[in-house]
Amino acid sequence: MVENRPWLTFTRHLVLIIGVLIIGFPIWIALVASTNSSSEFVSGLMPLWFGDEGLGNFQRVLSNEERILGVSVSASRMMWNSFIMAMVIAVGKIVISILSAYAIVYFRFPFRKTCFWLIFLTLMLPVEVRILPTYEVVASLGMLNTYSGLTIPLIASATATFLFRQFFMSVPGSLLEAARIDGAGPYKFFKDILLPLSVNNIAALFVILFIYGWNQYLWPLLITTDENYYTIVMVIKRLMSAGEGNIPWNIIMTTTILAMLPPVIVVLGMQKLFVKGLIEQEK
Amino acid sequence: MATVSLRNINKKYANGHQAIEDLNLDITDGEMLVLVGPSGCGKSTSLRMVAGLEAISGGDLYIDDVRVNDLEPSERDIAMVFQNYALYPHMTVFQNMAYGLKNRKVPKDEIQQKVEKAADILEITNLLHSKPGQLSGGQRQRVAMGRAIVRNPKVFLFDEPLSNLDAKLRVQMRIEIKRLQQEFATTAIYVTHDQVEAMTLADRLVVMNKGNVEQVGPPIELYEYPATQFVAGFLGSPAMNFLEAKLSGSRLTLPGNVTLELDDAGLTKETHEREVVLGIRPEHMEACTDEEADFTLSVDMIEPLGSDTLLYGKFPETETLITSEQRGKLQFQRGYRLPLRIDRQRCHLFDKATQKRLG
Repeated sequence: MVENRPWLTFTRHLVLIIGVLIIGFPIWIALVASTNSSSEFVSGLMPLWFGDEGLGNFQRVLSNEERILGVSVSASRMMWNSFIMAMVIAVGKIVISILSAYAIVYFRFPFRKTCFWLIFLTLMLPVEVRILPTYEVVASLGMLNTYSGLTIPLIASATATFLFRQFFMSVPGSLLEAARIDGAGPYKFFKDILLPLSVNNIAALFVILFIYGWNQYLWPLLITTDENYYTIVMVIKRLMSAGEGNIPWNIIMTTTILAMLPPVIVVLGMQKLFVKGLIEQEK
Repeated sequence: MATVSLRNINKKYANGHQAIEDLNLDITDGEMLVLVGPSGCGKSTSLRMVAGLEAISGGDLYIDDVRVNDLEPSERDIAMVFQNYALYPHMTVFQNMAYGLKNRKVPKDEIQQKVEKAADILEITNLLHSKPGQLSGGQRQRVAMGRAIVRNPKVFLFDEPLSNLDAKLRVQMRIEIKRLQQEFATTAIYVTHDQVEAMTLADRLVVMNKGNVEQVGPPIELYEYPATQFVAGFLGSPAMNFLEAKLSGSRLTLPGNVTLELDDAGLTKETHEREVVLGIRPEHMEACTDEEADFTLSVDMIEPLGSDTLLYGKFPETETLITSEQRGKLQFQRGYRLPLRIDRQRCHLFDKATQKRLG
């Protein structure tokens, strides 16, 4: 559509700008708050411009030497925990689902359809629904307060399996046949042909799954009692309820900004691949 | 250098559909055998069984007198060119051509040498470092051919390789394939639904229909002496005309009381009347004067092709559409009544019930 109607253009931009402001303003508040000293918040109003405590706030939160976070571990430790959790979940989900999708699409084994539908059914059982039995299993296996307990129950993924299955089914069958004639066995076909073709999809999934893992709140809250395994997202909530009437907004916002950074970095860093993976089907 | 033999090959799908029934073919060394037929006739299935991409339900397949029924495609020493080229999109042209050799653990410098030689033959040396996505259809086709050539296999298999190309390129590639196949003197099986492609490429032609072989032989032989009505109608463009007729002795009676006295006495010795189908190619009906004419075609449609003119109309007193091909540019009008004489020497007669050739 190539139209030149100034009013339409104006309205369009107006709507977009309002949208950006609605999304952007809270982030602005957080960013500004993280640079002010705690005395700025006594009045009960949020400051709207940067203070001069930025560096200090971040240092104090990251090291947590004064126990300002209400826990004994530092924000850097918790970010590390979050990072481990997000990475293991993202990588684990991708590895498991790409392999199961490969099996379902390319191999004829007994109960193949049943397997697929079983995987598909788990779509209806997200963590929140099966949280009690899952907790029971993890507790009995002695995985409370461990990285494996944090990650393994979240790794099985029907969504990713389904996505790879759809992608594999769109790969022309003659590619497999050409590869068979070229002497590539199942392993080589996967490694040399299928995997390189899936790069964009893998990247897109990685971004989505990394953020999914990073944002996990309920599950780590349940299974960690040892502060050494706390994640950064968990602690924000604890900060809110820590002080009595005197909420340390600058510390909360600093932590929030820290918690936002890695997903932003992942999205920006993988933007190109991410968009390609979502919209483009390799010919 | 190889021979391929199919002995009573059967293909039955799990749902009970019999795709191929007792297929017997012998392909001699260096021969180009073309399988042709309408879609669903089993030609592609046959090729894929030779390739090993489709399991053989019954019978034996031999390549060079070795039974290969249970060998993997890669162990049969064949190379296949696919309709949609099936190039690996993430690999360069070089990698595409080298992949089969790499998997066979051919030394690197030998791969380099072989790929470059093949690229040189196919004139795609300048494309070696491009990806398939950057190539045109014709270029992709060349790469697909290159991938087959570098391996120097015993048998080339072509699965409708030209049907994704535009008409002009198709003719060009057709000649190219013929040239390459003769140059390498490699045994080849070629599947197509295009009868022109089939006629021009084949050393021997196999016309298939509904999972059965209708006729095997050199293309011209099939064209001139089609064994069945199906072969007669399938080969040749425009297609052969068919008219139901009655034959007694050597006298043929067509609808509208048109009678032809066939001089080919060998046709049938029977005296009693027999239901037959007369097949006559469009180019074997000559325009003539009213006195010499067997019948008069009332022209409904005209297609001037430049060198020839195609005329369509109904045979008198029937609903059968007749095509006539006349040399040159003819200025006919619709509704023109054209007297035509049927060439007695070029009549094909088929039994109406069995559709088999008579005489």
